[in-house]
Amino acid sequence: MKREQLVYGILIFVFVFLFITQPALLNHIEDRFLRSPNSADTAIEKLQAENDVLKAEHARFESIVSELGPLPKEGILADVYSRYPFSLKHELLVGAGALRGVAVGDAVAFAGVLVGEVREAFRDSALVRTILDERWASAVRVGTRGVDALLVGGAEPRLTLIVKDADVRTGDIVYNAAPAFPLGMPVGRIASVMLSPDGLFQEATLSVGYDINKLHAVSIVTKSSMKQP
Amino acid sequence: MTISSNQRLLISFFIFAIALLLQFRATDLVGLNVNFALATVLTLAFFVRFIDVIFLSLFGVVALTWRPGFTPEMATFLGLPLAAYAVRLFFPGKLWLNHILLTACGIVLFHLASGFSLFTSHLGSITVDTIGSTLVGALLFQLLDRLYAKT
Repeated sequence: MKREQLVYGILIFVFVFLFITQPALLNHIEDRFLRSPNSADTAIEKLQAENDVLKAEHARFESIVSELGPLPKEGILADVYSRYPFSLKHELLVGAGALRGVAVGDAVAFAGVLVGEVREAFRDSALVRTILDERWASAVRVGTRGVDALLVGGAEPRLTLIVKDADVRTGDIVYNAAPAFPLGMPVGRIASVMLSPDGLFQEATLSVGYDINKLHAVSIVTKSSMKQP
Repeated sequence: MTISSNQRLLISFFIFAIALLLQFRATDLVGLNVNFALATVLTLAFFVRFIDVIFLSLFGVVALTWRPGFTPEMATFLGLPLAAYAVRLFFPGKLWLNHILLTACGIVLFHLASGFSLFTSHLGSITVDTIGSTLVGALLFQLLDRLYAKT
């Protein structure tokens, strides 16, 4: 019995020690054993994301070219360590932190498409809130006509407060209009359009060209890189 | 055949490992937000020793942690199984009913701990989670109760 208790004691000590001192190691273990990367899927998603970037740039040039500077092309590359494992919140821990210049509020992208923003920056890692998080809300524009809308996060992100008579169609590109992130950065495409429950506005569902639960790496666009011409 | 305490722990560990895997894939697999991990560890706390409850809770926290530092979610995840063990110890009558009440209250408490603003604005999702998790826990409770009653 005493030997059994000793074994338990050692096991508990090891877990507590690892939990406190090595969160990144544990996240690597999770990454190694619990995820199933699919390179073909990732390649297709990257191509689709690049396509979205081109479409967003085209839409941006057509609508508001005089207002904007160029989109930042590169960011700080970071591995995705772990994800919030419960419902409602959608957060990622990524492997770049304050040491590499990451700060709260920085935009996070996958192949140039906006994925989320940094909510907390640690020394070697950062916590990212994605657009699938129920608390996400940001200004966006739709298509070459630059129709204003509000992106509301959730398992199925949607666009709200679209003016009732605005010409918004399925397949239109959606790009960022919030000043906190690079203006014109693509977010996704319109999947379907409908009237809001009160009948005063249009609403739309958003389709992103990647599976956010399979992302293995993202790039972080810092505020300083946004200011550079 | 008698199932020893160590065998109970092994069985519990195996069940909990499956629950953790389901937790990581919950939305993909069932399309619903169900807290498999918490429902399972709360149920297991009704069948294993105190030291095993601590071991399973800590293992769960280590497996589920997604960011540096200690979060309210993880504190709840550690505390609730201990509460379940206390309920089992001090209120041994109608354990199945106590278990259902504890699981339902535990899931609600967990969501309250993860953010009050989220709790108030997503009552629908939280209700689904509470019902689903309580159901998962109740099924597991009945399964384990019958398994151990026969031995």
